[in-house]
Amino acid sequence: MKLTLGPVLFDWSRDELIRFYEEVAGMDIDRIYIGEVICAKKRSLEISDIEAIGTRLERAGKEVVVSSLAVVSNENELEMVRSISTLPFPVEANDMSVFNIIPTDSSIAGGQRGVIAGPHITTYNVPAVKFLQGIGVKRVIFPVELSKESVAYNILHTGIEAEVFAHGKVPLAFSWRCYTSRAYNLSKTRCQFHCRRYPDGMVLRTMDGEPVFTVNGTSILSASIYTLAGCIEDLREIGVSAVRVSPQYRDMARVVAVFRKRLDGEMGPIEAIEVLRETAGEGLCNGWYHAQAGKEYVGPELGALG
Amino acid sequence: MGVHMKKIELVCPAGNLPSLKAAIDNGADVVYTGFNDATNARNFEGLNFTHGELKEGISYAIRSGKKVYLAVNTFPQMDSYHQWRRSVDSAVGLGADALILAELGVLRYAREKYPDINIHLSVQASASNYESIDFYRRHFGIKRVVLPRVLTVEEMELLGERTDVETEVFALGGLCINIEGRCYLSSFVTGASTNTEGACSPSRFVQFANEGGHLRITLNGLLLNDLGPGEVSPYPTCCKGRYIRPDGEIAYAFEEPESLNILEMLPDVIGAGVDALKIEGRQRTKAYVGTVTRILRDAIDSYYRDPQRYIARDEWLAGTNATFEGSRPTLGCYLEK
Repeated sequence: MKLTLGPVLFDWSRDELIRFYEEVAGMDIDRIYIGEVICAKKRSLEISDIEAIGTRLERAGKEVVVSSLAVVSNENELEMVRSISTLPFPVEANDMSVFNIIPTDSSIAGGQRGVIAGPHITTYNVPAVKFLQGIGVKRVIFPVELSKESVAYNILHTGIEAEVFAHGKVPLAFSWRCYTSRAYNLSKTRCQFHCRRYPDGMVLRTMDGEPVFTVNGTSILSASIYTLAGCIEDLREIGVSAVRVSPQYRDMARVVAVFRKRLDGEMGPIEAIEVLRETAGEGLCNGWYHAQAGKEYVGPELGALG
Repeated sequence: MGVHMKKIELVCPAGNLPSLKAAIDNGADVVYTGFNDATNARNFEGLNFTHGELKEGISYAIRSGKKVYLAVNTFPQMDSYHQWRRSVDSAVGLGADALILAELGVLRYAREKYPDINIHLSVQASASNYESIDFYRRHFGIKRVVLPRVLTVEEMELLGERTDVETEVFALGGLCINIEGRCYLSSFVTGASTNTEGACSPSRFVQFANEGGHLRITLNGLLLNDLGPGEVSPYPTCCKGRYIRPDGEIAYAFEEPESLNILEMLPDVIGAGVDALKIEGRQRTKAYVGTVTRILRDAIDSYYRDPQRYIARDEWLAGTNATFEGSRPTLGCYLEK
């Protein structure tokens, strides 16, 4: 089973990103997704920076994939999709436009690089997987709300190479509206890049104080950290071939080390959760995997096997 | 801004037969519907059509020279697929004028089995650019796309210039501020998948509790709002809740209670080359359907009679805004994001 690092969802500065990927180059990760998923207005990295980071990571022995925007609503955003299609890396599609822009069929010119259906493509079931396989898609990252049973069913009946979102604030929604700008009485058009102030997003609490969501520009994530660190054996058994951890501003090396040890069988689930809990400011969740509400947490340390 | 030869189509919602008749009687060109199960994205208790009711509805529409569309626009999981195939088969068998579909497997099934039917791509597929639309056209021969509510009217026009697929946009009614088909807020809080079950914030999870003059609204135990005396709320969903930001401010962090009303922008939307206008609200009453259909019919007719002098009349605005359940009118992102 491979350990992968998802794209950075937050707005970090160019220096921070370059430093981050320099550090990541030294981590024991198999595959790394780079590129911008959330907002076309972020300005930290030029396409040449993304290429340089990808090349640097490849030199460090990593497999590199570039992820597309999740919401593509105008020519400017289509240009971003076209620009990543010029990079020498496979592409993770997070919007259907990618499948129309980049050839997916390996038998035709330009189709050899590989296109992957990312977590924001709604691949819910066997016929959807089979359709995507039919156009040449080799790997699927299933929607985050699918339960263990649903993921297992899809893998069993299609043999698709499957990756799951396994750790981090989990993406819950996208909008045309920038919720961070809204907090400053600004529109997206008049954005003043306030996202930069929230390197792990802006946590929202309910009116009685319970942390529930994280505002991140035009996206909404969970406040708590979704983690399947306790379920690695389980994921392997149902045929999942890769687990994705999502970048966070602090403690990334610790999180990666825990997952590496879990995958290598050197750390048990209870110990892993103990360490990860220390790195999760607003707590843990993973209910979806267990066919419960996503915000719930089911863990081995609570007496229920993950 | 040119006047288009083909008059824009008015597509109205119906969650039952009386609403369907109210829509047609008040000037709808088309009524859109769904079966009373998880295969459509407005799967609420007591709502939508049985096979027999749809049959009667289609007969009523035919007698009036109008059309009926049917949505099969949710995302099945595991072994439940047969139910979605059955909805497609039933709708085609009854002679629905178009199927509104979202999911790759359902699209493929419908197109392969029924090469000649009209397929519209549902808003749930969130195809918001001409490359995505072209992808669905190439693979499934879609005739029309219902555009996600993420485009400005200017973007709609530019998109329309790059595709031959017809476009349909929302004109009035409740507003998803997040992109439909990709929103997991309700599922995160309740565990019931909006995409698979066809219901956001299902009523079985919603509770209202009166405490000392305050109304506390919870979803599966999570507090969505705490209303003081005189405050009102539309149907509670996560996106319409109030939250505390890091600076301590309590705010409608995603959206104020508001409903889409484009009457004032009607000439711009028609001028953008849009082919159909859709009214939201299959879950609403026949009185709502009748009222908003009549107003939009009058507005459209008034525009085509004399485009240069179109003006959104006060009584139209008052009439539509009165149906918005206490929420205020908005242009969404149609003017600017």
